Amino acid sequence: MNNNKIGFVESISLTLIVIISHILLNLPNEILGSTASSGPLNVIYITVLAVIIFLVFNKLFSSFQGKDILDVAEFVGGSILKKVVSIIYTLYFIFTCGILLLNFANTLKTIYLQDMPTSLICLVFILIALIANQFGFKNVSRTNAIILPFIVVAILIIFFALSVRFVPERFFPVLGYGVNNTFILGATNIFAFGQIILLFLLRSHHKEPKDTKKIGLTSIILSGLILFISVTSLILIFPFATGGEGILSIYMITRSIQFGTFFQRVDAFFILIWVLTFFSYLSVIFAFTLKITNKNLKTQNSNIPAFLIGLGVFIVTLIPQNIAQIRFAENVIYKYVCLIIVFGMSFAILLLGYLKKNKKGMVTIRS
Amino acid sequence: MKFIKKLKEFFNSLTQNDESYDFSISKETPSESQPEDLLKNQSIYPSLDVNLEYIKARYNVLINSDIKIREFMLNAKGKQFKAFLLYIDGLVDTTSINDFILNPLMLKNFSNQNNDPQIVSEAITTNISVRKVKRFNITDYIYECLLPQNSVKKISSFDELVQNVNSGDCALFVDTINFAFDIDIKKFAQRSISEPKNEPVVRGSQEAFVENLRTNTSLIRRNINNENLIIENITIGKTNKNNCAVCYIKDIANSSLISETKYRLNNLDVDYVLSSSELIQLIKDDPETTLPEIMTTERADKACSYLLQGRVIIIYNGSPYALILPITLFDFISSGEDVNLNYHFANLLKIIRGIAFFITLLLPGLYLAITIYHRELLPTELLYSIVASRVNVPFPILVEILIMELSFELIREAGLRVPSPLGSTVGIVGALVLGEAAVSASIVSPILIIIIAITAISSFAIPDFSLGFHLRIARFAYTLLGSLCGFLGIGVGLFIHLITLCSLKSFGVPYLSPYMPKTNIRNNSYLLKPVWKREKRSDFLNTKRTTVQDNISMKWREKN
Amino acid sequence: MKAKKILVFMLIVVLILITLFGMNSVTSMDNLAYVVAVGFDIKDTGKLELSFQIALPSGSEGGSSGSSSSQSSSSIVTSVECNSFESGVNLVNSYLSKELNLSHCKAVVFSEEIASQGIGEYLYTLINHVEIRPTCNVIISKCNAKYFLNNSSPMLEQLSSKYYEIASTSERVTGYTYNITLLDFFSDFADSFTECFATLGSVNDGGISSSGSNNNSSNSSSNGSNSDQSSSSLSSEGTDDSYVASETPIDSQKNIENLGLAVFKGDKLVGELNGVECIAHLILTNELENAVISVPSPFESTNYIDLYLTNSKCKSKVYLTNGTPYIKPSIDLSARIISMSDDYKDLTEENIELIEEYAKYYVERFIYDYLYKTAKVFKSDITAFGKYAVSNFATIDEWNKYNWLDNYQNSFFNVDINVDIVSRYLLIDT
Repeated sequence: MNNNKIGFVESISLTLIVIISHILLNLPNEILGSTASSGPLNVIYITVLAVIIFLVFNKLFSSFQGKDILDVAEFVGGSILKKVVSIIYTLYFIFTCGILLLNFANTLKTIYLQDMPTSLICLVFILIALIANQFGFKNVSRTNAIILPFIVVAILIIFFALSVRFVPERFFPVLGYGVNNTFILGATNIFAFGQIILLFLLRSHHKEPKDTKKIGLTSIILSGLILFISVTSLILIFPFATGGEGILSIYMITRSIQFGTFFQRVDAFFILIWVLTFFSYLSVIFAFTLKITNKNLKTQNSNIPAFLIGLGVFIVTLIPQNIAQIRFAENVIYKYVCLIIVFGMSFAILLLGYLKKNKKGMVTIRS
Repeated sequence: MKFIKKLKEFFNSLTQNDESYDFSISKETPSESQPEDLLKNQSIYPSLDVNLEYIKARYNVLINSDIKIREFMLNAKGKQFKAFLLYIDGLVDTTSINDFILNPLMLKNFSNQNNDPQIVSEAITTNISVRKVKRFNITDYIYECLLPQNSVKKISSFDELVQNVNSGDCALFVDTINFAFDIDIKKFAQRSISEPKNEPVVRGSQEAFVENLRTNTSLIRRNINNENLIIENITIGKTNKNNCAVCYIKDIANSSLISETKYRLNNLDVDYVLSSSELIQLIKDDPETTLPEIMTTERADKACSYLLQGRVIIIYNGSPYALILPITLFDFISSGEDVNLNYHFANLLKIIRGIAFFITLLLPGLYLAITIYHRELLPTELLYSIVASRVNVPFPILVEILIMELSFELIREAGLRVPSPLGSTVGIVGALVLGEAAVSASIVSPILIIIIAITAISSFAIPDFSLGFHLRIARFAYTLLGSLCGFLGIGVGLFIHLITLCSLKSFGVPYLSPYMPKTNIRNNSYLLKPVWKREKRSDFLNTKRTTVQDNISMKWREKN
Repeated sequence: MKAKKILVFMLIVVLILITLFGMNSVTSMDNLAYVVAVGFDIKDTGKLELSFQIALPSGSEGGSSGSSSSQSSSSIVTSVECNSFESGVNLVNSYLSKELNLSHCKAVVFSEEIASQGIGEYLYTLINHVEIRPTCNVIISKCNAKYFLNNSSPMLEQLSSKYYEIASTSERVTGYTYNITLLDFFSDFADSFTECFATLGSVNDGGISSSGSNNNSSNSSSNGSNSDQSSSSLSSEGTDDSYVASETPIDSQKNIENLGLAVFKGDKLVGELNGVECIAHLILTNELENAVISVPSPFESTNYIDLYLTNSKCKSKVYLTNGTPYIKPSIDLSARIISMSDDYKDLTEENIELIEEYAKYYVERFIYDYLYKTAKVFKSDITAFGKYAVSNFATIDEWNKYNWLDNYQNSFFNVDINVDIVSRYLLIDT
């Protein structure tokens, strides 16, 4: 497709879908586990941190108008660095969405598909993502932008339907496990904003390069808001002592939604919306991974890489043996890999690129 | 010996009798290079006899019964020329031929008798009159003086002439002239303009298109009083050359849209196209999809309102349906009635139709998914009544639904196909099968009847026939998906459905415009704005003029 | 395009495979037995006895789907002795023709006996169960849970499931009990600033002593509370709100009755609250919608004035002085006189003030009684004063170190009550 430029709404929803699908599984739990009742405070804090980091990145990017991070990597270290970086990104994407998918498939299995093999459920999701990618990046992002409002509305419905059950005193003690845990160790919770990596990969796709900053800020702040809402509804419903325990926390709280005696047990409808969320999420991640590989291999036929990515994700879903391993992968590996790759490596590449560019600029000015 | 011979004959005759009458169409050699083809691309000969022979050969006059050739002597200025008329009986107005073609050409009236030179101008000075005299030219004379007809053309190519004669013109060949006069005296039996049968509205114009192209264009012309309304003719088909008219308003419609439309119509390598619905399938963007990408209407006012929005209308000769393009999904859910109503009522109807859209698409699938996989979703009392109603039903719910859906489709199809006197019978039988009898025979549960009935009623609320078809097909898919794996299956269906919708385009316009990609939806959202607030044309049409009315359209409200 | 078709084909194959694999887990809704309520009892042998009340959707009895009359037996109760909840479900499945489905379970009933031994393990099972909803009600039955379920034949309803739903909302009218869902119960149980409590229910047979019910112990405890009250100057002995479940003198057929609250400490039942104490509880937790109390008349000592309480507002403050909680609830009540034995003409301003004074004193009394009972007798903070205390702590560690739930019994109370009387008689002059 020649015309792969996407609009403002589509770009924002691309980045939002990633955080939302993490939220649905256990991102809020993960944050609450380390911060307890100071979770909402921590979310605000890491949102501010993420905004600052984004602004710094954006500043570093300012001299690379309309280029994405792979172009910068090529600029810094030639095609070898570009290849290395893109392979790392590809592996990162495959790994994260494989783990997330497995977790979600297990959720579905627990909830209502008891006897069905997890691998087959995973396969359905992977096939859907592959089919979606046959329609091209643009249509994936558009579909995603259509589905996203429903998800956000669903999260808001959860929030408001449960607000009658909220116990505001559960915000206390404000500092949770202490200042250290909330702000210093809690800063690592910024991995929740791992999706800003997509913003750096999206840069070359924006209709108007000027929008980049606006898109980035909007999506970070919106993700922060959604994260805040879900963390808040979790913490106000469940005693903080149990906050870190339930695996399907958001599902657990939807089970207690009740409007009168007729609208009870509506959680199955949320399952429908989450299934759509996950289809959308997987398609988006596949689309991005495909974009990286296509850029790298400069191939026209994207079918073979697509099938390979699908296979990769499927293999990742087959690796963990039990729930504990999934949770370990999700909470620990994902957290630190995300921190290293998204915030560490990208930052290093950008900084080098910025310095190199400025040096060149200085040289040209001198000469 | 004789006896044996007779016996043989007898048996032979028996076997011959056994050979019943058997006819099969023999294989014909392909008629690619028939002599008639050599007649193509021929210009008219100066000699009348040659022309006559040519016409006789081309029209197969010896076996063709309704081709009329009238040979006569033409009188002009006292001279006589051999001539003949060619027309097709039944397509032309015979009184016009008698009174206004043959009469002036053959009769010897006075002015036609004298051979005086034709005076172009005359200036009289004292005693001397200077006359500018035109040389006698038989072609000009016939054209200017002898044919009291409004539409007369000179045509020198047989192909063009034949095409016109086929559509009801009359051709006049005169000896020594190497072209023919093409006189438009069409008159044939045609349906008169009647009320729209399939798109009835309560308020609003009651004129529907008919089969005749000219009548239809006149309907449009009458509704749109603007000289910038362009009606272009394009011929489609190689064997059956049929006309279609491309209508647009020149200073509103996007020019690349117009040229794309004409490009597609001009590049159809087909023998014949019989109806506009066939034409749709030939020019639609994605031929595989079941979704309609071009809208048909039989209402002239609807076509005109779309024209004024900056869209293109194609009218095909012989089909009472005009094609509207480009089109989006939301246009299919709106009805012609909407604009005639107060916007509050129209929006209520639009919301109801939107709900009907989802019900007809999803209800059986959701019912299956819920009753098989997500029973907890049902209110307890409802669950109990469903369970109680199903006690004596032997089938699983999926089979139950398929039985009912199938019988409903059967009734619908049968009701359409039977002759109308029998239609009510089908209805009665159908109501019995679908209703009371099926329940009392414990084949289906009463709740299921309600589900199917609501679905059916909702499907009738979808204004567009072809969209209804798409929903019917998709409904079966959702039914199966819902029964396969509950909400996961429904989710699979919805996602693929959505991404297909996103990827579709109708003549360059994304199918989900103006919502995805999001354009300015302030003035063309799914819900109607009040009349005085419809200020802009749809953004996705990229029209030449974007505003429809001023910010304040009701100028009378402004006090001076 | 070709790849798309291949992928769609594969998808269809996988979906069909999923269905084939999952075929045995998908049971048609006809083959399920829908449980309305679950009862937990403990046998003398120490084994768990599970009772399931199973709905019989009308029409399944016989074949006459038309008859909607005589729905009295719209449900059956089966019970099984087992070691754990899940094994009990399995045992029932093995002898029922249909499979038990708990997704429409409306109530979980624990017998008093099992509750006083601790129900923590069952609670975790229930809250983690995929089918049982967190919104189903928790009822502590004074009698045997099986007996309770057996007698839950509603008089005004045809479906017992609907009965459980509606009956649980009756507290909005009376204030004599409070509707506790499984989620409420569990989160109170898990919370560090409150103890859990549940609806108290029993079978009321109108005075005939019921078989299988073990009233004796509860009677003694409620008698104890009554004696506490009788020691106060304003005896509420004769008023209609001092009953707990099964004691109300109703002359009717046997029926279940929810009245009062069961108080837990940890996961163990420690005592009961009667109707008026429940009103006190609701006032202090801000949950009271409306209630009727009978206040002794200030004019004639044998008469009562009925007050209709609405608009209750309570603001509680908790101060920690030297590690001892000092709890100061301030309560605002609006009351309406709905009946009094004296003539309306006596409702002068002074008289109303007098009634207000009496009402205030009366309410204050029973609230103090309630607070005393929870803090000193039960040592259980079911009022959740802890959540007001928690804002005094900055971190969870400090809070956990303080251990509110054990410190609650040392609390001091200072209740501040204000009662406004708004009279609305229909007749002004007689």
